[in-house]
Amino acid sequence: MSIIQAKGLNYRYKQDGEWAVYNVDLTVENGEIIGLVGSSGCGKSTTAYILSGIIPHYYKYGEIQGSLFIEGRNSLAQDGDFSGSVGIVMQNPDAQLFGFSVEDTIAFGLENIRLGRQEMVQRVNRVIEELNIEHLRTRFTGELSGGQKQVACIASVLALDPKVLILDEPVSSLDPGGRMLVQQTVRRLKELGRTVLVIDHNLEWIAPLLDRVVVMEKGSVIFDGPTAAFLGNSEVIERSGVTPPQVTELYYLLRSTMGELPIFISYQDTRDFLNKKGLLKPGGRQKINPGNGDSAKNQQPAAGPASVTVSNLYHFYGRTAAVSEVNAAFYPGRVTAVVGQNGSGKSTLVKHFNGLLKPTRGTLEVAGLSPASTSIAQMARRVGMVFQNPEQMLFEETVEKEALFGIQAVFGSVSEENRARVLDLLEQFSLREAAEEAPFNLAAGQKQSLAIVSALAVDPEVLILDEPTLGFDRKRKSELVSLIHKLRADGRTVILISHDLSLVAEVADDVLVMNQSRVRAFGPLREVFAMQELFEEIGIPLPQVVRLGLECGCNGVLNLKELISLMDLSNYVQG
Amino acid sequence: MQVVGYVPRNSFFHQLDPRIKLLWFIIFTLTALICRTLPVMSLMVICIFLLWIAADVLKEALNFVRRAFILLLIALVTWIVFGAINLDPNGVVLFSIGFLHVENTDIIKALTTTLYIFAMISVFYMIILTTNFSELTRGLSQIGIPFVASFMISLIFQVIPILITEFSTVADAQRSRGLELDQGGLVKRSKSYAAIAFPLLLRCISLGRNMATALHVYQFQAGSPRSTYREYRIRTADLFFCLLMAGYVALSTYIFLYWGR
Repeated sequence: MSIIQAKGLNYRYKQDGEWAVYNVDLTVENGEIIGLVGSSGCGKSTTAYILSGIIPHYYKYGEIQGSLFIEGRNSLAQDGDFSGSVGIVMQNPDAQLFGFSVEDTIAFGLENIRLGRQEMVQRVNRVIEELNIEHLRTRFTGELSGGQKQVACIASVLALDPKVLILDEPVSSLDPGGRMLVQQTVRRLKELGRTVLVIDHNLEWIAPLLDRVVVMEKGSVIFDGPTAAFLGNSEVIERSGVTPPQVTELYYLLRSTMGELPIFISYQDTRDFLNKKGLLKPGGRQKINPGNGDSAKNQQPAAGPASVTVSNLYHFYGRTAAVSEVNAAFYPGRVTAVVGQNGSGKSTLVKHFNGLLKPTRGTLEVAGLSPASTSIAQMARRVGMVFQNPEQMLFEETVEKEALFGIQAVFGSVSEENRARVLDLLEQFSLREAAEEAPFNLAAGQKQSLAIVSALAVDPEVLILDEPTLGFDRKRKSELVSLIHKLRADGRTVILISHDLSLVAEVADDVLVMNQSRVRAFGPLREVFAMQELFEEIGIPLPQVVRLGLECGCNGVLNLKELISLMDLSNYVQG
Repeated sequence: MQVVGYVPRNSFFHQLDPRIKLLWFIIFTLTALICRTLPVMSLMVICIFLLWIAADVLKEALNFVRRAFILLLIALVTWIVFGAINLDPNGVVLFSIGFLHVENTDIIKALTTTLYIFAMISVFYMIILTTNFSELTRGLSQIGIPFVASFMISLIFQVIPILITEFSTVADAQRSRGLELDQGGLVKRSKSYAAIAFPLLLRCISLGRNMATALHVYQFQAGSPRSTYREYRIRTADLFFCLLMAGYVALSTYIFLYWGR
């Protein structure tokens, strides 16, 4: 019998509102690892809430129709609460950890269900052993990394022994190290035969572990089938808004030349296949055309006066060095990506550029000013900064007022010229029609766009984007890529902090790699991405395409077209 | 995220049963309330200092003393000034400034009150420094405080660091847009603070909603009985500490009754 059987499931948050979930049929079998995907707002999280019993047993409002049986029991029945049958781990681990140490946190739910002490100890020990987290047992949860917190959440929910575990965008806010940790945990759950439903926009990290993919669109399921069938269907991928693994995109490009191929899902299988076909031969066609598929980028090396110059910069929090001995220059018309694990010093470094932080030692010059001796308000005219979460800055009554806030704050009043420029920016970002709406009613992607408009309103020379793609689906990411190219073309200095190295490969001209407060590499993207050993050392996996290029013995391959140009496909040219 | 105040150490005080620590808190508080004399307060402050050393938290505690120093100084001066306004028939005037006549009894009262304030804050802070919030919750529950109440206290310790981080990020985001909090008149300043308060409020609501949902996931039922992962048992060290407390109470009572005020 299926663990979950949902039939004709409809749900809306308000009686007269639109259906957030409509006519959903879903079965989940024991031991399956399923991906539940779809664009933002397609109903994935609502479905997860229904499956886990949060709706309707906790969120009692709204209207629900259809049937949902979990282990043969009617989960929608008013008198039953099945929150223990399906466990859910949400995006923000800080809101889901209740206890000082990891083992206290794991025991919290068990205490709630009044488990006897002996059994509780056994369950805590079992979960710790299953997930290999003995080293975390007594650690204070507040001091864990993002990935460790997420694993502690998974352990806490698993301790309740749910039949199905739902992970709702578990890696969206994590650094590469955290993402790998969660990936290892899901792999372990698969080995243990657990049933897991993973919700995400990006399948690169999870695709090889998925048995099945369910795609939702506008509240309904539009695809339900094996992972290979999903990734082999380009139309469904497009509609799902999912970022597929880069090797799957390579599959589509190669298929047009090589004919029928097995679908590429995992990096290892793809590498083995290409090796078997002799396409990753070191010493093959190793000359790549730098302009291939890279036309929007600045092909020239950095030259002319820099807009940001950092000399021997140090910053200490108490006795702890957050930034040490940083020397760097950032140029107009170039996009520089700053990458590194959380806590490596990226954000601390860029907060010096607009004066939010003052150097402990060293000097900076930004757009001809010294941020150390200039007020933040004055620096705001020259440096725009967009924070990770736009909700941390939106507060005005309307979108237009929000966009004008920076101008009002910096110049004291809004001239007609400035207003016209802001309206133009709103137009460019497709926000003109929403100008009179409340910012908090906007969709997540629109909020991020508004945050960028707000930063650009004062026409800054330098724009800093801190993790701008957090939780973005493919369409929104693609819009952001176009925007960054435009900012570069306008001659602005763009500084991008990102964990998404595929995005970095797509938009950056230069890369600055930080680790443990120090700059480990700084230079043109291609040269930095050739430093495979460095990236391995600091635990950041390079994009799959870059790694396949390195397998070919070619350093610094950045995109699929460049990779294919290295392969000798003459034997496969059809016709 | 830093837990508010807790300093993890392996000292004997850290390892005491949380109920014994709470008993210590109650005994010191009651002693201070009932026997509020300069000698007893002095004894209490000496004991607190000795406990800071024994609990290996002297450095953190002295940091706290440094931060509280101005507050204590203000309290001391205020009590002296208030005392100096009225003449005490039993007091000896030490010096006068205009209508203020500072007597020896004013100084004693001011010192007693200041030490009392210091002791009360320090006793509370000692609990915070040496007891993590999970222990505190269980300790409070095991002495009969309803779990909902003790859990709320525990949540405060969890949420405060998150809110401090949120506040800092929101303030940074708005300052990056040119917001100046200390510029302009009252209306402008109010608007400036609204730019921080409003996003922060919404983030708090969102955090609260997520936490409430998570509690449902963990099948938390307010008011329902729960079991406990850690069972605390009174050990020899706890009994020994109880003996020390009994000695302290006896000595305080003796000083209070026979050493005068």
